[in-house]
Amino acid sequence: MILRLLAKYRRTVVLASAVLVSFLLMTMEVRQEENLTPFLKRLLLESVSPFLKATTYVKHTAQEIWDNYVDLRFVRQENLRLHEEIEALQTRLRVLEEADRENLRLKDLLGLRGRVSFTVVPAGVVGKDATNWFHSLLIDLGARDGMRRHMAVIAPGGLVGQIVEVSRSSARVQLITDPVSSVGALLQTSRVTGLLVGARSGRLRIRYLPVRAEVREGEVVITSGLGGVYPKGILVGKVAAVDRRSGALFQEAIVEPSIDFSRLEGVLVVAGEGSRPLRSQRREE
Amino acid sequence: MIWLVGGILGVVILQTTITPLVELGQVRPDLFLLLLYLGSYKMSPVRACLWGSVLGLYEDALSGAPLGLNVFTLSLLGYALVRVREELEETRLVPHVVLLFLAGLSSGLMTLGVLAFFGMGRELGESLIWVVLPTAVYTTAVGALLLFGTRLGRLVEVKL
Repeated sequence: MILRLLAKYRRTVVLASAVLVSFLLMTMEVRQEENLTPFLKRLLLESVSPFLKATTYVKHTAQEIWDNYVDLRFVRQENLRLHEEIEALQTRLRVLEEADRENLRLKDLLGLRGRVSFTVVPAGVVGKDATNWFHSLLIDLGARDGMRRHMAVIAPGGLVGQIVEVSRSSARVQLITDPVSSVGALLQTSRVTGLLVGARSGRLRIRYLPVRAEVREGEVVITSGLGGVYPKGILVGKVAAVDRRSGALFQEAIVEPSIDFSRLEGVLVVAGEGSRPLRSQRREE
Repeated sequence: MIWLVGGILGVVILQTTITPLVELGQVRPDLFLLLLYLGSYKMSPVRACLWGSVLGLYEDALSGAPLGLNVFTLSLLGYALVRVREELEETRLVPHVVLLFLAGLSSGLMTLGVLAFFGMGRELGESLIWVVLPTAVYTTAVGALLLFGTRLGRLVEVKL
């Protein structure tokens, strides 16, 4: 009887089941109570991870061959230009070394804590978010390489985001441009802090800036270190515009990120503060 | 079966590694939707619904979306696409392109609705301008090219 009914209303039953299962999965994920959804995500990610890595490897190799060919054509001119640049940078470095020494000496005199250093692990980008709704990256390091959720991810140009999902051999990094990302930010000149959130246009927005703070266009934005995920002092970008509305309790700033996220091929995962290697930290945990 | 597995694998690789190279204003075509559309040509509504669910699972796993979001949109769309296409003439290209655009638009609006339902709502105007419409247009353009190419191929085959 039941089987006959099921056969009769097969279309409706299948459609209703698909809708029900999807809502069940979403409820579980949103509530973060069950272990089923992270497990399923890890399983699906793991099933395609080797193919993504292989494709990225082929893509990078082809890109490298082409770049090497192009580079060879301009190598002499480039060499001369680089020599000049090295000389200029060496002069600048000597001045900065002197300033650094003076800085350390003054810090010692004032009894301030030394600069925090952190260990980083290089990782390759093997894929980007499959939808246009979220901004994330897939990297080629996973749980077996010591990756964990909420590890900060940076690049030579500045802040990238944080790890939000980890499977055995890969991890997903939520970019700071993601609409649900939030980072504690500090404006370097005016020394005010705010909450940096992603915006759809690819720019970032700093919320909750004191209305009396004098925020200027072009001001450098760094991480504030508040919240515990991102170390303090990592470059985020520059203020592109300031949004002051009359009567508002706070002002907002639009920030141009220092990184072109569409061109990221490799990132650095902040494995931990201090100079301890990752393995010893894991052992301690 | 091989066709299905190959299709999923191909679209996963293309969507996550190749489409970022053809990104226009942070928007990429939705190849999962396109594969669902093309695959549903040879499927019953029930099969298309299940096919949409599997594709949705992979799309969710490879994005920041909560698991189930694209399962919901693609399974419903898979079912609806076959039902609507049963009414369309196979030979005319324009209605198919319009249907694909409407599917892209519906997918975006459903995503917006579901995200709002689960407390992850986005600004309506901003999402429509920056995500829903551009994605639907880009996906339709790629789909139209594919459909046109397929028809052209068939035409040449017949002539030869």
